[in-house]
Amino acid sequence: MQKTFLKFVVYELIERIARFDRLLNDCADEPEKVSPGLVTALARQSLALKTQLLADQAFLNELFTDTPIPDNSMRHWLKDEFGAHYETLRRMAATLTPLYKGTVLPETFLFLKEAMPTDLLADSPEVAVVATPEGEVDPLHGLRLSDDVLVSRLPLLQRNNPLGWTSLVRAFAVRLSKEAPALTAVRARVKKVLNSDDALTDALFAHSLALRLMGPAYYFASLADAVFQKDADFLNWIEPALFVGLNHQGMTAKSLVILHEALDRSKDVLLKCWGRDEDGVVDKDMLAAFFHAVEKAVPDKHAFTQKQFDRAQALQDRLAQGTLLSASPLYPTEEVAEYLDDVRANDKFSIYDALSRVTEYPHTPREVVNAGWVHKMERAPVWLYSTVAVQGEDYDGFDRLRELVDGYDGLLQKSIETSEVHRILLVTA
Amino acid sequence: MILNEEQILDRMLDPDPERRIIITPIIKPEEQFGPTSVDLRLGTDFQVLRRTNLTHLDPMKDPEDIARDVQQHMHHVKVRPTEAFILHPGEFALASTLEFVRIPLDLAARLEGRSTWGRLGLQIHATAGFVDPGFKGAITFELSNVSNIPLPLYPGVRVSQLCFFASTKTNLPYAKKRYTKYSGKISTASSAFFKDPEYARIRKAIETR
Repeated sequence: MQKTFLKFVVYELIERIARFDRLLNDCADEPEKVSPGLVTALARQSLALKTQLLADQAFLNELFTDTPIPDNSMRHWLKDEFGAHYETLRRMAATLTPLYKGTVLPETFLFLKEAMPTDLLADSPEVAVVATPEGEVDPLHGLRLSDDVLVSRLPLLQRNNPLGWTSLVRAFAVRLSKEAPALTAVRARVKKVLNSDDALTDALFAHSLALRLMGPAYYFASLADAVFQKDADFLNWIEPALFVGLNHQGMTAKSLVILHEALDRSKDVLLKCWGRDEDGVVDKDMLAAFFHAVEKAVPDKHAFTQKQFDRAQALQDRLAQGTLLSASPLYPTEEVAEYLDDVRANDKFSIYDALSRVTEYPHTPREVVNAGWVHKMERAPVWLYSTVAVQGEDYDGFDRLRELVDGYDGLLQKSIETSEVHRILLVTA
Repeated sequence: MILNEEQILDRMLDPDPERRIIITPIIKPEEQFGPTSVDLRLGTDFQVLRRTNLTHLDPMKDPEDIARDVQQHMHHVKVRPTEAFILHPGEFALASTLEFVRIPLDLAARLEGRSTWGRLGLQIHATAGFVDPGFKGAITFELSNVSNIPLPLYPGVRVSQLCFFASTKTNLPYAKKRYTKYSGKISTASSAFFKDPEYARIRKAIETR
C-alpha cells in the first residue's frame, strides 16, 4: 500500500521533469528569444537531475517488488531524495519561467469556461490566467485585483497539461466560499471541529467547492499539489473530507479508493518528514451537514455529477487506444446494429433513420479531464516502470516518457477543443 | 470495390473492434454521408510557410538541424472555434481534419475535396489523398487557393469527403510500415521529408566519396 503512494509521488515528479524538458525544447526552437547557451546549461542540469534520480536503482526497483518497503527507506527517500530532486527542478523551472514566451493555451480557457460558472459570483468576473513558477500554486490567498477579474495561477510546467488545469478552479472556489450564503450558515460548526482555525476553515470550504465543480479530478490534482507543497493541513484535514465528499456524491473509482487507502498508510511517515504529526478527526456528521451546504452553494446544474463521471469512466478504452474523446455515440453501437438488423428483416429500413443512430454527443471539458485523471492513475505505475526500471543501451526512459506525455496532452487538448466545435455546430440556426 | 453509405455504416457498427471504421466526432451524419462517402470537417490548426532567410532546406544537414530549419519555415496558426482562417490567393497551408479517423486493415480510403469548395478554388490535397489501411489519427489537408479571392475557412466546415475501398487484409498496416512518419498524429504535422531513408544513404555516399 505504501508503495502505491510512493509510486504516485515518484511518477508525479518524473512527469514534471519530462514537462520541463518539453518546455526547454520549445525554447531551443527559438534561439533568437532564449539564449542557446542557457538552454544547453539547463539541459545539462536536467540530465544531471535525471541521472541522480535514476542512481537510486535499489529504491526504484524496490517499488516494483511485492515486499513491503521499510519505513526508514521510505522516510529517507521522501525527506531527503524527493525534497532535493524537487528543489532542483523547482529552481530550473524558476529560471525558465520568465524566459518562456508561450502564452496560456486557448484550450485552457475553453476548459475554464465550462468548469467555472462565474454567474454564481456576485460580479460575474472575467477570468484571467497567469503563468507562475513551479511551486507557486497558491490562489487560496491569491491575487485579487478587482471584483471584475478573477486571477488563476497556472504553474508553467502545467501549461500544456489539461489534467494540471484542474487546480485552476481553486481561485474561483476561494471567491465563492466567501460569497455563498449556504456556507456562511455552517461556518461556525465547521470552525468548532477544526479547532477554530479560520485559515483551515477557509481551505476546507474552497477545496470542497472545487471538488463539487471538478469531481474526482480535483481530488487527484489537489493531492499531488499538497505533496509537492508539503501541505500537512491538507493531508490531515482536507483530504479525508474530500474523500467523504466524493462518497457523498456517489463518485468513486478503484484508483481513487486505492490511492486514499495508500495515503492513509503512508501519512504518518510523510507528515513526520515534514516535522508534523498525524492529526485531524473526520467528524462525519459535521461533514454531512457541510456537504449539503456545498451542494446548495453549487447547484447540480453547475456541479460535476455522478452521471458525468460515469461518462468519463466510459472513455477509458479510447484513451488506451489513443482515440479522440471529444464525443460518444448517443446510442450504444451494439443496440444500433441490432436495430438495423431488425428493420432490414422487416423491410422497414430507411437510410436517414439508420444514419441518425450513429450521431454522437459532445463531452464536456470536465468529463475529458476526469477521464484523463482516472486513466493516468491506472497507467502511471506502468509508465513509471518503463521510465525508471527498464534498462537498455539505446533506451532512454525519460525520452519515451516525454513523448508519451506530449501525446497524452495533445489528445486531451484536441478532445476539449473538438468538443467545443461540436457544440457550436449543434446550435440551431 | 467502393463501399456505399450502408456498407460504411455497417463497418462503423462492426461488432469486431478491429474491423470497425472509426470516425469521431460524427456530428450530423444525415448531412455528412453521401452515396459512397462521408464528409470530413476542417480542424483548427494550420501550418503556413513563412518567409525566412534560409536559402533552402538542405536534406544533407544533420536531421536535428533540418528539423529546426523546417520549424523556422513553418508558422503554426491556431484559430478559435468560431474564427476563420483566411487562405489567400496562391497561398498554401497544411491543416487537418477535425475528426479522428481509424481505417481497418482490410480497407483503404481516399480523401477528396468537396465540389462546393472546389468551385471556389480550394484544393485540399496535392498528394495526401490516399489513406492507408491501419491509418489512425487526423488526416492532413494540403490546402491551396488557386482562385483570386481569399477564402474564409471555419473550423467544423465540411471541406472534404472520404470514401472507402475494400482490400484484402494487409500485413503492412500504416503504423507498422518502416519509416512511417505521420502515424497517430492528431494535429497538423509539417513535413518530415528528411527522415526518408534515401537521405541518410546519400549523406553516407557523400561522406565516403
